[in-house]
Amino acid sequence: MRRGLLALLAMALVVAACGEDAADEPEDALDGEEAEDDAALDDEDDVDPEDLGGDPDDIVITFWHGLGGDDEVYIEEELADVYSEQTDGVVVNAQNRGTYEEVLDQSITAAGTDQAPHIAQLYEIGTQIARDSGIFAPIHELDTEGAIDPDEYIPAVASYYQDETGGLFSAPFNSSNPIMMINRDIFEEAGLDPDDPPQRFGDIMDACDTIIAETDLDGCFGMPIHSWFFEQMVANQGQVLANNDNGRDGRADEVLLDSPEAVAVMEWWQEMDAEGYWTNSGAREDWDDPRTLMAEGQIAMSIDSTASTRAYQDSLAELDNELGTAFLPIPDDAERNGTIIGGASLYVLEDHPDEEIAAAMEFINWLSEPEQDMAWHQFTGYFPLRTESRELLEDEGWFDENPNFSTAIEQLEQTEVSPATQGAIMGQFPQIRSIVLDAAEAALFEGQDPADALSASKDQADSVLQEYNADVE
Amino acid sequence: MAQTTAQGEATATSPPPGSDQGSKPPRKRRTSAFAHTHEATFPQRGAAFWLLLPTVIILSIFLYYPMLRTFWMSLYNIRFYGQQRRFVGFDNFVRLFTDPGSFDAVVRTAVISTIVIVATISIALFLAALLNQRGIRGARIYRLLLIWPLALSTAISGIVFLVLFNPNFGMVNAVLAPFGIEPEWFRDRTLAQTVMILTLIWNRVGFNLVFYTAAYQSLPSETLEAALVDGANPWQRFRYITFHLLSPMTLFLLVTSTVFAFFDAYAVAEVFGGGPLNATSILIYEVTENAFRDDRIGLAAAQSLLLFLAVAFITVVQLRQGRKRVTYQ
Repeated sequence: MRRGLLALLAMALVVAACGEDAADEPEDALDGEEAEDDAALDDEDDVDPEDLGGDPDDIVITFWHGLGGDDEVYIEEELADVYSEQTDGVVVNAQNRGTYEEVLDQSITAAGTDQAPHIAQLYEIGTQIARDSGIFAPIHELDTEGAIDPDEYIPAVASYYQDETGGLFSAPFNSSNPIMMINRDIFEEAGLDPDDPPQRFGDIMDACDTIIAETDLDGCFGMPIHSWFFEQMVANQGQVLANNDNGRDGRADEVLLDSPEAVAVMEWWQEMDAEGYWTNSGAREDWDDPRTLMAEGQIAMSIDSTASTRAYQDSLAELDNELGTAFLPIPDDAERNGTIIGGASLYVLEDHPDEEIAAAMEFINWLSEPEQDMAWHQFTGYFPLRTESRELLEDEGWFDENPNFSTAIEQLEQTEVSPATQGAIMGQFPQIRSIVLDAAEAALFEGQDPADALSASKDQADSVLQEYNADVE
Repeated sequence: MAQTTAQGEATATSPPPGSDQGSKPPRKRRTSAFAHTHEATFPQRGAAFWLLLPTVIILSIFLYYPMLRTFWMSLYNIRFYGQQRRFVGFDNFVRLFTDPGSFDAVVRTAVISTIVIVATISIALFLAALLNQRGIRGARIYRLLLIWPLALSTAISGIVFLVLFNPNFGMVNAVLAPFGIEPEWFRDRTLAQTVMILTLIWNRVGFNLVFYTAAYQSLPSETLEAALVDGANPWQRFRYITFHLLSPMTLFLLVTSTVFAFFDAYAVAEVFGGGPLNATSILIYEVTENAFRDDRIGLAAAQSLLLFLAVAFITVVQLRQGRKRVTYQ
């Protein structure tokens, strides 16, 4: 009996292993096109409007996004379903297609087939490839009926997504920027004033020194090993990341990783580490690391996205501690310019009938209407998109009750819109981020001189960018 | 299961009695043996074709076509996930052979994979031997516990180990701290590779253990009893009898573990972000990064083709060596 069972188990494993092996053959994994087409066929083939609660001849607007968890449920139930119900003749079919990276690659692959979505939510570092791919048309061109008014958006939110005409190429959707989270109770315990948190690199080091001396903490400060924060700290000093005004005045072909501003950020990071102030797991892009450290009360400050404000607030409340927030810190002698919008925006694929494009525009506009916009901000912590929503929230007293949500929006509004704070647009941005982290790891873990490490990364980043440009032009 | 495999292999590979290697070309012998079976079993000539057809169709769709397609893609510079193609001949291959990073990646992958393959097989064999001794109380519980990690995907195992080895709140350093040892596991190349190897071993030993246990339970007791009567001690019985009787299973596990170490290990590298400084960036991870993050599908195709050929070569060597060393009953 026992032998029979074992044999059965073994056989099941062989079957499973064979399946696994087949799926993991590199050529299969690689053949993106087939894989995507198959995936698309599975759940996309001729969606019946009736399945989504509409009438048989309703227009179906397919919306691919890359948000998971609570956000995914919210998009599908509170946005797509609600819109479908209240709008005659249109149903929205919102689908999570994996990560941002996957939404980008699947949208481009599906373009031109009848599985192509109408709206794709793409991350900001995919801007250049999205524009070069030729499958998305600028919103300002497609929106012939004038459904979307760019002037209604908060300027600092919209500026990232404007192209050289000044019109919106894609529509803002989920926008965030980095702020500093503070455990107010630890600050008080160390005798620091939580209402006057450190704002400059040197002040943070002094505060850390005090915190480690005055409390029983071993560490002080958390930040994921992620290029986004590095880029933000460079922009905050008014320095662009790429030439040609961050690629906004002609195609960028040089990544300015060796600028004094960039080196200053890396030097500070290295010093924070050497002094033992920066606590980290050492793993690349480990977003959970600073969140867990804060949640466990092991550090007093952490730099993270505004979209995680609520999560921090809740986890500190469990410790019986209170969250404070502050602007992203800057070097001691630098002038504050503000931060870049991070997150994702909505692109429209041009290869669809006019009436479907018009319906997609109406839906995008509806998303940013104050009612939806305010609820989205309150639920997620992403910024409100429209000036009107921001004012309504103010009037309601939302920011007075939630001061931590107001820090982010103040930082946003104090941002001087310039090429530096608009953010870089360049090809191979995802790969360049990884090249930036090579420099960070060399400086932080292997003691390499920050300027040397960044200069080596600059050469590499320039070469992949120039290669991209050569292929595209 | 083990018996079936062993016997199946034995019928397929053992030459007719009395044949010697030099006198006849092996191919001719095989053809005649096949023709003989063919005539005896299937009166109609086309029957074999129809019986093989479903397999051929499935293999063509899922194996041969993608392989040819990969080769075709490797000759192109592809952008925008396939929307733009330019023929570049063997440029992608030249690039892989001249890029200084490639050699490091190959060495890294070879070292990590070899350790994983050797360790998963030897640990599984050792545990199977322990668990199959008579009179171990609760052997089934141990077995269950040891096999359990298999239920987790490699990606989940990677996340579990990332948390376990977290220097600030992980369990491993909490245990080591009283001894004054607090390694920063993910800041050091060798340590990060060590954690990756441990993750893969932990995840895979259970699989190998299941197969060894199954093989153990079908060992012929008369052979071992004969050895016992002849006065062989336990080590001798293991070394000279059990080990050889298990060799078909070892060969099978060697091949499957190789595939695991080269391909399935991808998910752990993904969790570790390939870092620090590419220390955990094994070839299959580089293939996916090239293809999906960097949108260099042509280059990734060339790379995956080379990786496929390398693993196929290793497997063939293993099977050839196995034919000489494996003892079938």
